[in-house]
Amino acid sequence: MGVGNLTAKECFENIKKSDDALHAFLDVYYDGEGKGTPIAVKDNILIEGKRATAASKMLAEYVAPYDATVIKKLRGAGAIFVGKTNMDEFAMGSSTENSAFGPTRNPHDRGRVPGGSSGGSAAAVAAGMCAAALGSDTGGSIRQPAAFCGVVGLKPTYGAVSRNGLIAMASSLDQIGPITKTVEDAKIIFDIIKGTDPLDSTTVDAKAFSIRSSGVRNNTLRVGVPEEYFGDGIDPEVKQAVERTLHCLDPKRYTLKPITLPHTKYALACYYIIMPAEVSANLARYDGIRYGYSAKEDTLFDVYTKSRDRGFGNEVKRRIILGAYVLSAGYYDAYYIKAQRVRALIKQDFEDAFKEVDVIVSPTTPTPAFKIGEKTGDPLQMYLSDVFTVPANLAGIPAISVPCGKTKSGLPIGIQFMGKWFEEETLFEVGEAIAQLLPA
Amino acid sequence: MISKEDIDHLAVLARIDLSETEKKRFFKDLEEVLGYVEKLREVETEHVEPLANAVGSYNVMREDEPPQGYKGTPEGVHVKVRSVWG
Repeated sequence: MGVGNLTAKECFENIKKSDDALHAFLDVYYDGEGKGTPIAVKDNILIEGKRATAASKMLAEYVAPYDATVIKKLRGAGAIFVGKTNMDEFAMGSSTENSAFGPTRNPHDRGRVPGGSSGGSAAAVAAGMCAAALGSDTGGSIRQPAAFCGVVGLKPTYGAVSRNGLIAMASSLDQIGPITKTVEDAKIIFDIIKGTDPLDSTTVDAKAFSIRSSGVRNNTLRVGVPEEYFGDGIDPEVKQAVERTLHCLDPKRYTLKPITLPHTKYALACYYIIMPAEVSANLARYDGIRYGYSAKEDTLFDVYTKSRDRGFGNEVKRRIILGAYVLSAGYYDAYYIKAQRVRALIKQDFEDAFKEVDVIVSPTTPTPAFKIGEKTGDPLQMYLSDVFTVPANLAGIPAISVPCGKTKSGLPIGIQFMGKWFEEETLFEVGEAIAQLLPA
Repeated sequence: MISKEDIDHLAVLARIDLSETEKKRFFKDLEEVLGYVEKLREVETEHVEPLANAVGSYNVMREDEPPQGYKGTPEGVHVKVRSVWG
């Protein structure tokens, strides 16, 4: 497959050496033998015959009856699967602290979070425990941990990669994507896993979707700099690193252009209505009947309510309750439909901007990795770390996070590029240009 | 805005047996989050259609057959559960 420069044996050595401390993995399969490119897989992606827990007690014993489409494709391309990585429970969280099986630690500073919800995958790549990893991204869950761990993370265009075999969180927002050491590796993995799939009716044929940019006019790429993503509330070292990196781009090839995305300040509110609503629907299937944890009770009602009480963690319950509220009679129009209308406006902001620019830049996160336990007391504080990443999920556009430096204390900083629907190629190009600017 | 009775009702709708401590905590959390999302009221959306799928959706059909590898249930094709009444 030509991804990464680590052999499976070396990855396994690194797992043996560091995973007791980092806890990036929930299950390790690989025993150091065999040929293939060693890939780690977030534990919400199904591998036939292997446990898939979504980091929840609800699925602690669940064994996947089939391979996710992306797994089949990677296997066909020469991957071997090193194991399943830790995550926030059912992908709900921004720190991997919501795992029912304990947190993962950031390899750059073990007192800090690796980000979430794909924290295990990002930490595994950063610590050389795999050549590349798969994550999933609903509101930033690939990009934010990639930024916190100093690696590359791509959220593809919605519909570019099949969600068949991905344990669903929010179906209009979820995408599977690569977390890798280099931009080139992200492109290799993306090219393998992308494509329409009859088993996921939301996959779209990129060829049919031609908004090919007028883009590469006069051999220059126009980079939009949205004022709404460079305001207050950003850690000064993060802002500095991102701005410094941007201004190092070759002006012969890249022109920076100020733009505005006026509905940006509503994106997080919009997300925290739509996502819990979809979560409450998607997690209704965990009823103690079909699969998963089942409470031994006398009435059906008690089987449902006690299985779900004991199987789900706090954040999962919180979002299900919030989702049930915004979808309930009397509130549905005021919250859910309202949020879907605002979503249309957020998408329109991007459509308008992409008439003037080819790619849009921002810091991936407002801060570098925070300390374990720092934000667990206040859900809203945790949600605010998603502020720059959720718009891409709402609009369905692809977005990549690429390392662009470190803080004085050695914490990685990520720069994000958002592109037009199905123009991941442009993101790979800019991402590679950024990577060239940084010391090896 | 949200009331304590709402939380009791939602716990039943969502089929989760929440403890009193959890209900108190979620009441507070929901108040905080709902307070934050209130800002959407400011947005003028009178003539805007709700957007559910960002890249457009269309029907994809398949034959009405069990999926590959489907093994059925311990009862065959039925699922046996506790009594629906009581």
